[in-house]
Amino acid sequence: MDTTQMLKGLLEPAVLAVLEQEDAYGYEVARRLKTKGLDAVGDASVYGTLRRLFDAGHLTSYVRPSDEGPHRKYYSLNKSGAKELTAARKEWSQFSATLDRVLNGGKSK
Amino acid sequence: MTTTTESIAPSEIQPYLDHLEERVAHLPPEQQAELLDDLRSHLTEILSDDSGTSLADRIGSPESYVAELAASLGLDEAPSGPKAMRAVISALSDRLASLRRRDSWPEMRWALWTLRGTAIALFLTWYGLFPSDHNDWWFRIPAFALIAALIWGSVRVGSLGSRSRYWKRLSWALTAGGLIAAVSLAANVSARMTPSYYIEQGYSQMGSNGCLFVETELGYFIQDPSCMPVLSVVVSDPEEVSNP
Repeated sequence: MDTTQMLKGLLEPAVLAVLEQEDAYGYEVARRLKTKGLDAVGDASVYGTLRRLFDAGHLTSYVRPSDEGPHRKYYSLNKSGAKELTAARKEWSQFSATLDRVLNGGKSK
Repeated sequence: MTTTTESIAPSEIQPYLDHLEERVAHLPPEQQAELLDDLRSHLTEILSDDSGTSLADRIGSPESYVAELAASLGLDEAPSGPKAMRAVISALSDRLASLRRRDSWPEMRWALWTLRGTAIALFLTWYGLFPSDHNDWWFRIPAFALIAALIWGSVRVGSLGSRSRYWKRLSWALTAGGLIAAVSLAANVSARMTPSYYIEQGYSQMGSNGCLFVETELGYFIQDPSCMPVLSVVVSDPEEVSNP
């Protein structure tokens, strides 16, 4: 199975989850995802996801000066984003439980 | 999204921006500028993270990066129905607005006023400039004077257009007149490119050799026995042609 394609659909909740822990700028979000094991996702997809989430009103942004170079645009989760993440966690929990049963030949409750 | 101040992109970043610019060419200019400006800031952030490797090594080639970004943002999904129509109207409005904002617009208006004046002047003086009965150069002097006066008048009316509604309406009328004159001139020139035009304008006569011919501005067109013009035959003296 193409893991990259599968990850794209799950990238929005993954990015929301990363930003729930701590605000971050675009490239840092991609790095954190890689650190957590999602190394198949490219920076372009993460950056595009950040823009989509921002346009949907789930994120806010602010500029923070950097000692290493130009100012960086940080993203943070707002109330709408937190609500979205909660809903995504619930959906994923139900979906993964169902898929687990299908893949392992179990029965539904 | 917050836009940052536009700056000159480092050489490593520029190819990514160029590819994105091609990809978003169908979007309104403001949206294009926002996307490019934001990507420039994002890539600058990545470059400032000193890892000792090139930008392409970290995020992939410009082609693949922009293709992935376009897919993520849904840039390649063409709008349809009323949304598509609104997108086209919006793009055209933005294009017109940006054209009006450009510094070259005032110069373009002067060119437009000059062109419409020239078209109207040529239309009015056409038969004075190219008379069918003689070719004396001095005969054209009044026509040239009228052309100069009409061009000056067109530019003058155009420059007064901002003063009042009357001048603006007159300027619009002159532009419409210029368009009609240009079309009429084009039709006239096109007609004069064909010998049949001259044959229709000329005089059909019977030569002493019994050969039918038509005298025109271009010369003599010989006709065949059934009086159909032979368009390719032009002679200076029809008497030289033997009876068919």
